[in-house]
Amino acid sequence: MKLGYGTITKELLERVVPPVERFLLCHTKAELFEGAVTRRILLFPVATPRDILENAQLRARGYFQEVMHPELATTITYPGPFVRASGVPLSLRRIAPKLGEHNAEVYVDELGLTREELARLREAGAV
Amino acid sequence: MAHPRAREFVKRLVAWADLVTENFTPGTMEAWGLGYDELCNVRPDIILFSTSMLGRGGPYSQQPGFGPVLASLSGMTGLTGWPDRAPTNPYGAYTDFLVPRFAVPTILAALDYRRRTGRGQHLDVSQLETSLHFMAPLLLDYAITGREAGRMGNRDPAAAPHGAYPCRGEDRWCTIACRTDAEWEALCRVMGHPTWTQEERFATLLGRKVNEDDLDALVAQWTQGWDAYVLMHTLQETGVPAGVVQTTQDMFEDPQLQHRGHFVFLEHHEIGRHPVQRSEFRLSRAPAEHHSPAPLLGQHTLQVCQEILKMSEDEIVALTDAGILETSDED
Repeated sequence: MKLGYGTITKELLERVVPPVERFLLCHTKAELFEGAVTRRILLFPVATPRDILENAQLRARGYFQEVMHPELATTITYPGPFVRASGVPLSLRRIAPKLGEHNAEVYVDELGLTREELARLREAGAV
Repeated sequence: MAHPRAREFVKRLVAWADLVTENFTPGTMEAWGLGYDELCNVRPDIILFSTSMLGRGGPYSQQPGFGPVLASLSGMTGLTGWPDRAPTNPYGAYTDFLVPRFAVPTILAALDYRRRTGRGQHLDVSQLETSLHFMAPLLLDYAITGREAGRMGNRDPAAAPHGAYPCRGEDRWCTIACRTDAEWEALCRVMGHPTWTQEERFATLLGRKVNEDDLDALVAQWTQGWDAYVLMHTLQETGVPAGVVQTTQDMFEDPQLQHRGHFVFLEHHEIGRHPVQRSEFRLSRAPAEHHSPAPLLGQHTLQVCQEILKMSEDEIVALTDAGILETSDED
């Protein structure tokens, strides 16, 4: 009987699933995955955040990056960029900014306000 | 693609193209003599966009990929479903919906980079790495605190009540989300302040979280007398976030989506009349146009050969006879 995607019957599934379940219960996620890799079977673990942080493929590609958190005075493990570009080395330059963190850079350095004007805007609740 | 003339044909297209995209298992393009270096010999500033489930390089880059399993590998399946039941896959090949939205800006950035510098490059997108950006808060939580998020049905760690509540009719539900005490008080007003809502244990978010099973049961008793849409509108007007759990038919009849013209109907050779969705954003000077439905395999082979590659009829016939090119029955 040739089985294709979407053609397996409910009856056949009911016969096939229990022995497969019994087999899976005897092995860890890691063992099953390694066995699947060797045999090129589409079997993958339902990963937890811990599995993901420990994922060998992600580690080999240097996906997780340490980013400095100024307030905590330590580095935090972050997911890295979502693309590798051969012409441009991409990296995480800094963590997400806090509200108002770049006011001076934008209002004073870019837009040319004086520091006094910025302070007045702050007092008025405008920034 | 084993045929050398097929590869030559591809190279002729590359000479014309700004961008080449491929999602074969890493190594496949190289095996065909179409790796990035070879493509640069054809066009030095070509942009090659390669995407694969696990990215290029690394111990598992050769593993065959498939959308639904990536939802599991990226942690999404583990989060979907109820705490007392096995995990369930999120709808469809979920990561297939996420990755293109990262891919498109990536390609635009590379095109812009080339416009400024004259240089192309090879883009390598691992669909796992991309999808994990949707898991970032949970990954950070684990990395910093060691806390592992688990399945919680329709609940939310920072809101209560929060879930899908039954309404009148067959399989009709309305979702409600009270993130603040103010939203909870507004909900109580709509409910008419029944006695149970005044119990001390429900007065704060923390109390509502601790007693969430009882809370959900009591809210459900109240919602089941309501029509789902009437309930949604009533709650929204009072400032309580609420939304009907809509069916596909509901979405086609949704007045807001109709106003936006979100569904566009096209005529497909084999399917007939069918809807496609507009883009989720609108550009005031460059509205999206939907000229044609998805093509049939080989539908544009002749057009590409004639109009883009300027091939002669003899060349086209020779390649078609050799099985290098396929045209659809429509030609």
